[in-house]
Amino acid sequence: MLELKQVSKSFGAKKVIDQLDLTIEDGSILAVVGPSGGGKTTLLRTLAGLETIDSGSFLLDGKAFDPTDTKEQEQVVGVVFQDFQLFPHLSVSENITLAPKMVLKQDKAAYTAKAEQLAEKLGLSDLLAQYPFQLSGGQRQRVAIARAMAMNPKVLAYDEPTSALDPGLRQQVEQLILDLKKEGVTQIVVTHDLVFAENIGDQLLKVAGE
Amino acid sequence: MFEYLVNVMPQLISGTGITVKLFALTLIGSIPLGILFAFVLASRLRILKLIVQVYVWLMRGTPLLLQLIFVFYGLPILGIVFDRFEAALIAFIINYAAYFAEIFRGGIQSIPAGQYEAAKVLRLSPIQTIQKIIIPQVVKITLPSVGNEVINLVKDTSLVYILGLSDVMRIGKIAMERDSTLLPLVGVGLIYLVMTGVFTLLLKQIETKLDYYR
Repeated sequence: MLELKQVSKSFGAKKVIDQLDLTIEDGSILAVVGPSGGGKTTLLRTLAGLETIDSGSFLLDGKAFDPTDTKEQEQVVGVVFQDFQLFPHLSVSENITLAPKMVLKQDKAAYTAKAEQLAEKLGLSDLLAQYPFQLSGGQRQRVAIARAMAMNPKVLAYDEPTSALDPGLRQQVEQLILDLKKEGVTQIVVTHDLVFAENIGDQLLKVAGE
Repeated sequence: MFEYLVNVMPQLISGTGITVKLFALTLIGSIPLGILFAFVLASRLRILKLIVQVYVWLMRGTPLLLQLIFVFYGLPILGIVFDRFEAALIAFIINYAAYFAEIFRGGIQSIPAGQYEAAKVLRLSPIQTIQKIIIPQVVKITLPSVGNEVINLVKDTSLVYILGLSDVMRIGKIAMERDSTLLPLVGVGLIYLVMTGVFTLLLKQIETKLDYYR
């Protein structure tokens, strides 16, 4: 269970997140929806440790944690970026295994097995030797998901998962997210698309505009 | 005429030793130094950055020939004495490091911020990020510009004749004055063409090798 308690964040005089309380149950999906500039991406970035918060706290299973603490090996929130940010010079397989190898210091057998298992689950098995530029948008997204999941995060967070894809792929993304939910993956999805948010979310957090 | 050229070539070729040695050692010294300076230039370390910026301005803003003369004839006034080859090597390394620093800085800054963030979220350390994510991409991006500098360096080594080092250029010049003919300089030109030709082909090959991703 991931909890946010009284989390606030301002940029200059502008309050982007104001005393937010939030509870995300294990295996559930939180959809954060709202117009751009509403602070929903900022919320994701604070959870990922890419932005600091001004006040409040994050709790995982009742225990406080600091997402910006890079010494912490245990990863709480894995991120699938809007434009995926795959490493272009690394193959699909290397994209997935880089962090488990370099950060978790797993041995080759362990990270290879994990990558193959994730690839199988996400339909990437035939693409492991390819490079990102050879993949379609949907395939890149699944590589980004596999890369994030290889670090065994407690929560998987997506920033606008439908925006970099063809409109026709929205349903596929929905299906993918719901499939992962069945596997017990806790997910946070930031989106401007209300219908999409309602389709997938167990819980909807509406963020107001400016 | 052709016979003269054939006869003078061995002398000229004996000068390539100095040329190649200076060329290779300059690259070995200036590329790592350039990378280091590039990260300072791309960083937010204000004071350090300003120092490197001034250094780059001095190195790129004055002729290399002048720098060679200052290192060899000027530094001894301050009690710092180098022999001819050392002086040439130092001048070349600090000069080329400045050019490489600017090239690599451009490369580093062209890597999207999202790549750093992706690495950070995956818990890669800053050093790991630079090693595994940034440098490999910068190498590919900057290779054409680095190649240009490498070719320039081959030709710039000819400036050391001013310090009396017996490189290809100086031997050619001596032969020219001794035999009252321009032919040795034709030979000199041929030698530089062969050397730059080799590096052009080599760089093309490396470029092809790095073409595995886009």
